[in-house]
Amino acid sequence: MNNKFIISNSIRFVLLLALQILLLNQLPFGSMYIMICPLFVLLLPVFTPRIAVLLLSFFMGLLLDWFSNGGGLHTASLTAMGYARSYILDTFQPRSGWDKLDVPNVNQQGYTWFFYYSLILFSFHHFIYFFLEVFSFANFFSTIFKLIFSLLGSLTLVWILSLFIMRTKRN
Amino acid sequence: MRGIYYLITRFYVLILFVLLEFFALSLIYKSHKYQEVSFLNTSGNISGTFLGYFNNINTFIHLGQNNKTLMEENVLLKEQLRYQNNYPSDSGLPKNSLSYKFNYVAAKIVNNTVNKSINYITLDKGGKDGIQKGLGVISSNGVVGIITNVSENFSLAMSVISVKSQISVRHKKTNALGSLYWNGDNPYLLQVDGFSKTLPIKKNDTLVTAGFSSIFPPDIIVAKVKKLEPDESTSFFHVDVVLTNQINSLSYVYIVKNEKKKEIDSLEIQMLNE
Repeated sequence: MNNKFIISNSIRFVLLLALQILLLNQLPFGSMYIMICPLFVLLLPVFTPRIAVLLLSFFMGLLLDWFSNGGGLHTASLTAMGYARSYILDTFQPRSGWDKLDVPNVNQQGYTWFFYYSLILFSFHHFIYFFLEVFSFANFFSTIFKLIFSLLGSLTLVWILSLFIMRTKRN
Repeated sequence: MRGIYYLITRFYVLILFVLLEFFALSLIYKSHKYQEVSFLNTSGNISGTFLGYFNNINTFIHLGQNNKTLMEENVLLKEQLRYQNNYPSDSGLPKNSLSYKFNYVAAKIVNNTVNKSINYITLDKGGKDGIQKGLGVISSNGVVGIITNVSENFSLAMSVISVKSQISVRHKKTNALGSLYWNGDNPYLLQVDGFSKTLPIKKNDTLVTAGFSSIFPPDIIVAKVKKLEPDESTSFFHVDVVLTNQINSLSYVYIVKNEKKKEIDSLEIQMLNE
């Protein structure tokens, strides 16, 4: 069971990274930067050691920065999100507590649960990314506009992906 | 001692998080402070080669448009050639003497973004081809950016669509000077500072490179005026311009090498020191 998790998460790591670098980074929409990579951190099994979540999100950020000239922006925002994830999972615990093999995805937790979970973590990630990008609170409203626009794009893609991929997996 | 051990075992995740975050923030700080990206950039051999391989698809998509711009450039060059042939070199007429000191290196775009506040373009020519930091990059119908990082085989240019970029431009009709920058909002709309309200500037007027810096040759077309509003608190216009080249669909560019750049720069530094 453990091996299965490692393999599926490694594949997801590579696929999401490739999708981000080769497609989403090249899109010619200026005020919308769709980021899909946080989805990898979201979908790690619940009982992944916290230190592993942190290191994985850090390395994903480093790789992203390396391939998209991010200059540390992705590293900072993904690491922060990786750290925040365990607190969100604690708050969003099911009534009976987490089971050993639980994965926080649509299949196991349901649509509403995943909607709020992804909304909170993606908002957190995008907020850090866009405010570090301008490095100040100058142009506050144009940054907020860009943030909301990108967040809508990212979340739409995340929900479409999770609906399609996870539905077919269950059948 | 037991206290420290307890702290580390209890808070090791938090400690690691702070360390990693500090590392990332120092990278961001560096890339904001200096005119270059940190060591994590696409001019590296691995990332450059990888992206270059996949960028062939992008080149293929824009093939038709690239062909068209090349044809237009050919026509222009042919006209210039005919003009020069009509005046043989011993006629005493200078052969376009201003642009004499510039050399051009053709480069292919490997990676290109427009959705960040500082956008970089990776090019497949590097230190091996004599590319240095600070050289200008132009396309056949406009200005693209300035080289900021160079590795052996690749180089990185900061696009003019970057909040840190600033290029001096000239209004073609009146010769008024201004500086082209981007406010970070719409990547297809750039801003120009320094045009006085008294000038007869109109919509669709052409802006060209000023040619005072040793980076770009003079009189290269840069942008067209899109929107013009007098600023009420100053004596200048608020000018929004559109670049003449579409940076996101470019595939090939020219890197401008100035033979006299070293001389000009050392002279200017000397002057500043005095």
